[in-house]
Amino acid sequence: MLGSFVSRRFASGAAYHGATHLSIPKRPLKKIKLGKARPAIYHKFEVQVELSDGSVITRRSQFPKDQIRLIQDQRNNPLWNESRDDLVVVDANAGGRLDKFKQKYDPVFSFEEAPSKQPAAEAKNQKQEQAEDLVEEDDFGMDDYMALLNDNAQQVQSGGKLATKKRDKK
Amino acid sequence: MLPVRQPTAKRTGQLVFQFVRGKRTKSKGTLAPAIQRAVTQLSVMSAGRKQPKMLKLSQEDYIKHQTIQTCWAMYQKELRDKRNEQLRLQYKSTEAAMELLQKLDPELFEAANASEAGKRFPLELKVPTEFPPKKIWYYNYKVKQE
Amino acid sequence: MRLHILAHRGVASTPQSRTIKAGLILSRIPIVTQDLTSLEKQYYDYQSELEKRLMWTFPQYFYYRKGTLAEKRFLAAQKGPVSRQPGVWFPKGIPDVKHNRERRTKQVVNLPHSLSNGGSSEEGSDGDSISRPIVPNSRITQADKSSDLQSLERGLSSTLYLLVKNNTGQWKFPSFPVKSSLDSKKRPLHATAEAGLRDLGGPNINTWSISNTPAGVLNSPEAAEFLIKSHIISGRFELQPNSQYNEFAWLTKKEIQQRVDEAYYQTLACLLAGN
Repeated sequence: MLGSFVSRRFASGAAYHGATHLSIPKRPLKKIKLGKARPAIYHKFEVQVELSDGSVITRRSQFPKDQIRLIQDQRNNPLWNESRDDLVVVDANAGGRLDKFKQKYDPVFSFEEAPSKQPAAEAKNQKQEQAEDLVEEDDFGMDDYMALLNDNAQQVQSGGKLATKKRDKK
Repeated sequence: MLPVRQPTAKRTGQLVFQFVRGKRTKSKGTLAPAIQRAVTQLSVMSAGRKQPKMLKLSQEDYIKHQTIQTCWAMYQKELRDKRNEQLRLQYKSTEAAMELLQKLDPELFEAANASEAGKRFPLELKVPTEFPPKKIWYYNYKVKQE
Repeated sequence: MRLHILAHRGVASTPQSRTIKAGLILSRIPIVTQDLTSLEKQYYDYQSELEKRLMWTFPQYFYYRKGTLAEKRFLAAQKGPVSRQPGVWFPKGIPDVKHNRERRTKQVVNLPHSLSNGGSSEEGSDGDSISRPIVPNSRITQADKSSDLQSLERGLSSTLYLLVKNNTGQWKFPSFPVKSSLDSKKRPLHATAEAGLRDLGGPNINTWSISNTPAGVLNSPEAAEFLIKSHIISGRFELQPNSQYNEFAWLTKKEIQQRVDEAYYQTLACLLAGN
């Protein structure tokens, strides 16, 4: 059974889905002599990038465009600018596909309306819910990840015996 | 590949003495159209056609280039040495300050020597850009009351 | 440093009559990149020209699909290479054209601009249009032109340091005597410096102390001034009335050298950033 699975894997690996197999006639390989190899230096354009606060940097890019304007970046993100309250936060994805989807389906998936059960069923399930709450407290939630970005977050200094090298017995 | 083959095909065409309708003029070895297309695409995309000519410097130009590179390397070394020297002096300065502080006031010395693990570089300090932002400095900072 | 504690534990500290002060080197980091020297500029130009010469042909067919308007616009903006003709003499050498590129020189690709220019001229007054052309702000600010030393918006490409002038007319870094707090415990040096700065320049100032450890010391028979380094992040330094200083300025390293006396500068020079 395993053997057949392996063979099937190999068979599928020969050509990916949708590819038509072409056998191009072999040509004599062009030999690159020692010292004649040349690096691939792709064509690059100098791009002026304007950050959201109006500062400009110049960088190189292969895309044929010489000016790029960013509307959402570090310079107007509240996370990087805690002390500022004059920021105009623009959502670059407003009106995009994800935003449209959220507008349409957010009420369906929001958790505010979820506990609309019958009271009897609720009482029955109360014990179970409590257990679930306990489990949730133990988990490493999203807030904990955010807390890592705080100023007073501390790096774990000594995690006990981690990955100690064992000396070979002789 | 393609440009090489075309003239031979032409030549065979010329060699045909009498034109017979319906007879294939091309040789039998031509590729199927799909394969021929793939070959053409590969040859278009090949690096050899996109590369510029090799840069061949004359003896004089080569010496000039080497001079420029040496000059740059020396300049970088000067900068590096200056920076290392400054770092050394800064270290000595800190060391001298701490030794004096220890003599004068051990209590302050302990405070100055306390561990600062977990201290972070502020996110609000920005990397210099080539041109300044519209609002260069944020003046209206207010202390947050907690 | 840690080792020193252990080494000197046994030595009894002799009480000294010298007062201990906490000095503060408050800096504003550069906002724009360093000005290039002529050597750097020439070298970077040389390298970029070399790289342009060695760059491959721009794969136009990859970025512009055949038969689209964008491709037409792009092709219209290009200045084609001189092609090779039999029996013609070319003063600049025989052209070697491949993929519409002269292989002996760098490729110059002109990007079409007609659309964005036309759009901006129509809108004109609309300064918030997302497709307006980028016009970088000047690296030389109003404060530079009026040589306003008290502005934080001057000398954008260099590090500025806060200096204050005391009643005897000497420019110095601000320094504050170390006081004991309520429970007879001495305040650490960096806390003294930070608090002193708030007393001197108003509370609305956002700074970040680099370390608790002093970066240097100014030693004299009557006082020892330990220097703490710090960065200003935002906010305004306004000299409060009835303080011991009567003027302040944000100065670069060179300007500091002109203003302070030689011995003072020599002890501090290694602590200040040159640009």
